[in-house]
Amino acid sequence: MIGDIEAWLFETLVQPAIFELGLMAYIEDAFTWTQFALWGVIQIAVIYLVCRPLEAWRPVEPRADGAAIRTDVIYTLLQRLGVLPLLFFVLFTPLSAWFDGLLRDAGYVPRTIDQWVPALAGMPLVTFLIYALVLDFAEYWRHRLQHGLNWWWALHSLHHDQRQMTLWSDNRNHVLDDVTQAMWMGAVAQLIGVEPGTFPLLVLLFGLVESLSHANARIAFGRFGDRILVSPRFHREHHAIAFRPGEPARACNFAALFPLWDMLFGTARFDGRFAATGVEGRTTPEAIGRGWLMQQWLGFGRFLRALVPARGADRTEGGRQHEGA
Amino acid sequence: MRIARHAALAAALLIQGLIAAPAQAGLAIVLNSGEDTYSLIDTDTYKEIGKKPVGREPHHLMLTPDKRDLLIGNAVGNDLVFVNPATGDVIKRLDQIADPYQLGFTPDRKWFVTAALRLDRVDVYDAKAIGERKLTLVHRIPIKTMPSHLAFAADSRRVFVTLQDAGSAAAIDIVDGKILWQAKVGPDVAGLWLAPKGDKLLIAVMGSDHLAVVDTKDGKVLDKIVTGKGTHQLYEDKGRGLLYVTARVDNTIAAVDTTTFKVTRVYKVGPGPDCMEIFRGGKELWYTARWAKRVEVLDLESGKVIKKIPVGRSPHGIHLHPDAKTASR
Ligand SMILES: [Zn+2]
Ligand SMILES: [Zn+2]
Repeated sequence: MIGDIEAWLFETLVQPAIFELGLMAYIEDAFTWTQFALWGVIQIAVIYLVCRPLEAWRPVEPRADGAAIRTDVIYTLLQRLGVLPLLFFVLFTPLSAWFDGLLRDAGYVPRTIDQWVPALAGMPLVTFLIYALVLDFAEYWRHRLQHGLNWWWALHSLHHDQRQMTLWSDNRNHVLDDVTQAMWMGAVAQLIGVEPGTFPLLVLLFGLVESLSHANARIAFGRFGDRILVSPRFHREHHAIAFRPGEPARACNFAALFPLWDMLFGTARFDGRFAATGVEGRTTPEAIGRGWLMQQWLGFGRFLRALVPARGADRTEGGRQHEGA
Repeated sequence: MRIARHAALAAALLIQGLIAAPAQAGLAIVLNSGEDTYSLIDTDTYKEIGKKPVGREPHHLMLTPDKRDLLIGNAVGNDLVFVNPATGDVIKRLDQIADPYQLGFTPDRKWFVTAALRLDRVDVYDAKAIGERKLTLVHRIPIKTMPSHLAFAADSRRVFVTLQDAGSAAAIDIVDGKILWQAKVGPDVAGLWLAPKGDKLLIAVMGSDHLAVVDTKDGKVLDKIVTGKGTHQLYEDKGRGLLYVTARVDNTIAAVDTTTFKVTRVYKVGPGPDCMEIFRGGKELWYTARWAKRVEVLDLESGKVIKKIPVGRSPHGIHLHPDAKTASR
């Protein structure tokens, strides 16, 4: 069904445009991109239909700052409709060809998981789950580094800046962070041999769960459920750690999909109280930045200052999170 | 007369059937370039009967000169996979073949040539040991940009290659590994076909709507044959003296007479027609419809698309393996 819509869209809109632009040499890339954008539209529709009623039903806080929410909508559209991914694709295709050549020259042929474990052949759901687990494990550690390294926190704190967190907040990231994430996920997926046909489905799963976990909804999955899948309460507690005026906080809840990783590495907290979110010391719209462009610009400045710290500069400049046990 | 011919055919089939018993259905192998697999299709039932992982981005496939193995080139995987054409089983994987996007053997079977679309080069391998499933790299010829399709001269000395992004074509001396000429042909060129006399090339101009008639001496464009917007790939039907030419944007396949270079018929087909092969004694034309994730079967007489067979994502190369049973139809 989706395949038919995709073919129709491509034939009636995309291909004629590419033909008129004289870019037929890149027609196959355009086809890949059409798929991405279409999945993005479907994804946004599903997320909105699922999360918005939940937000309306049991909001954590009132929707006071419409402008902040609209900015997050822009982040979401840029990322999920493929505008940024397309840009990265154009920039990084030579790099990925190089990486692939490197693997080959080292004699490494990526194998699919059911080639490692033949018993998994014919069990696509289990295979899919294993892929999701491995990628989530990789994401868990990337996220911990985002909080642990000064320069990386300078970028990632943009994500934490949002004080009006909603279902749109997941894609609120600095573009440099989007780049590292795309490269990291792509490389890991290639190493464990995720088939390209499966990869969009994994991205879809991550997108659905992560949008839900940012939703402005007083929702948890219960004593057991909260330990199986990341819930809005679980992730809101992560967003609270950078914003605890006058109260020490413990870094926690880094996982995107499975709290399992936080439980294994001792960073899980299931007692979240739907606390306020944001970054300590950065609370005015001027400090956070109004709109996408300003936020990107401020984030880049923080990043540079973290890389080249001025002598005697305050290490906590621009809001430093509490780094606990 | 007719009866005699039928009797002879029946006898031949009987003998073939005895040798190749048990008779098995014909098999089509289709490369799903967008999902790293190939589909196996039973040519009797027109149904996909299996799907196997193969490696990253398989685009084209061809039989070895002795017709024993089917070679699949994984463009991003940088390897060649030897497959049994009758069963679809993998026999061997040959590593360190850089970006084998397009493949071909010289008519004298001595050389194996690949066009590396992603890496901008044409590689020449010594094919002496292809019977042992081995290849030795002889020349690596950098050429810009996006070499995509190959055609070999009867002398086995020259190979003609289209350069998709450069919009040009080139002739390469296989033995010396040198470029003989390179010339502009038109925007985004793709498939090409060498006339039997060896004097002219027909080159698909994908960024436009025609085949360019090109002089093999120097690459000069002599004429144009309008076939359809997004003209992409050519396939020769020797029995009818025709070329089938796909047009990706117009979604047509044009039949072009190989001696007069006139379009004799235009078939309306599914989205993004690409690689083709004729089947059942020239009755059917099978081709991949890339944008629709399927293989389609065109009845060349009636001009109707008689089957649409769902396969994987972005199906590209196709190979049909007939046997006694299917040949009898
Ligand atoms: Zn974080
Ligand atoms: Zn978050």
